[in-house]
Amino acid sequence: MKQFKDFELPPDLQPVMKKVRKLEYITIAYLISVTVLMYLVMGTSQAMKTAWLEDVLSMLPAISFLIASRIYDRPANATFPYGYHRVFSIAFLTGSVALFGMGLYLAVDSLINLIKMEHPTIGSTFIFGHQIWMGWIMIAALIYSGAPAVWLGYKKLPLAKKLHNKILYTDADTQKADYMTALAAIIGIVGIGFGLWWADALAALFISFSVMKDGYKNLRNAICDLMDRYPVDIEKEKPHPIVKHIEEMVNGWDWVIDSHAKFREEGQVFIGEVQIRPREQTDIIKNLVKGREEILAYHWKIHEVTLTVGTEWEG
Amino acid sequence: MQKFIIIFCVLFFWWGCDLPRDTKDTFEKAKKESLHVGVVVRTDSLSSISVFEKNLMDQFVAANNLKVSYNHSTETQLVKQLEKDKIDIIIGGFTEKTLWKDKAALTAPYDKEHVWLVKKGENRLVFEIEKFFYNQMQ
Repeated sequence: MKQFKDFELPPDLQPVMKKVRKLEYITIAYLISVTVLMYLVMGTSQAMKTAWLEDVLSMLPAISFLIASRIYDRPANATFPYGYHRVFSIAFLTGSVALFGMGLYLAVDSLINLIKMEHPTIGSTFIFGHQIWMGWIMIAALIYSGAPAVWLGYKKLPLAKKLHNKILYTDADTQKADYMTALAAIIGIVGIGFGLWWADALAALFISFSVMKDGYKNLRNAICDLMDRYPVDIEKEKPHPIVKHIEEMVNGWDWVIDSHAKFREEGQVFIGEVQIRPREQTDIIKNLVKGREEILAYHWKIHEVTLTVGTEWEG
Repeated sequence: MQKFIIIFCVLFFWWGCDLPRDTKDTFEKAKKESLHVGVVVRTDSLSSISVFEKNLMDQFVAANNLKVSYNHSTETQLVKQLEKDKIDIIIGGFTEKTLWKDKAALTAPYDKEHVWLVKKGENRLVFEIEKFFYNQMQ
């Protein structure tokens, strides 16, 4: 039996992966600096606490990606005959459960604060003899937590599309929208400054809903992947065109009457089968071997395919 | 668009100059009406602190042209009154580790240890108290 391919990325995409890994290391280092800074200036603001927890959580996709990217291309073996591609799906599921759970917790926490009419108090500090309201320092920390994140998100997005990697895409897409969280928290802090106690809890509620929305979207995606849903385009979530193209390609072979292709996503690659109804009096074995090679060569994302011969099929 | 952003920034910083404000306008009201201060009655070794802090409070209200009224009672009673909005500040030897920190806002310490308890959300009042403490320490 022929073994699964050991390395899933073609040579032209390997430098992209390298670049992405570097960007993810930068992301983690930057997020650590953000969370430390935000923790130091957090005070009693609910919006700050929520934004801080969101920043802590936003490290998860980057960490998951870095761990998974060390494992995913290990060669298949007797224990894991299909290789380690699904490590990305597991990492994606773990991250999304954490995100959704934390979003839910934050929403309830903010709602309780709103109902209890909790009035946040922010003190002041002295820098070189000048008194500065801590709210201004929090706003500066929030700007630091928002602006570079958006830049990193925009940097990672095209690379994620190239690699068709969901964790990376989610990470980039969430980071790109990070300024919304920072802006909401800033509005909350300014609200406190103007004596509007409810602005803080309301901003926190808005942020927690955005965390929850991201978590839910990712969770749905991760579960669908693990349930072997048909491969989808990471951006639009529409059926990936490769499957249709393969079916058309197979139907074009002169020894085939018609065919049906079924694929599933395993991490960033597709694995599946093509069921073929062949014409009579053809050299089936030779054609199947040749056909399989042709399909595997069609696109790097087609990592493994099984060709079966039959007269009827389901699915 | 650029003009709009510049106008917005100027207005924001102009408004921002007098931030933070109190939720219930306590500091401004204390200029016309009265700052309601609760003083913890202590019979233990901390009784001298209550006296010291009351003197400090007198200096604070004088420095800011505020009017003041004192109410002497136990910690529990005063915290209840603070929560019900009957008083604005409690003094009397509290530290940053006080058990009441969930029920009241704490100022920065005036001597690296002792703090005052302030009604939650009164950010201008806390701001002015902290300014006074800082000037006292200089």
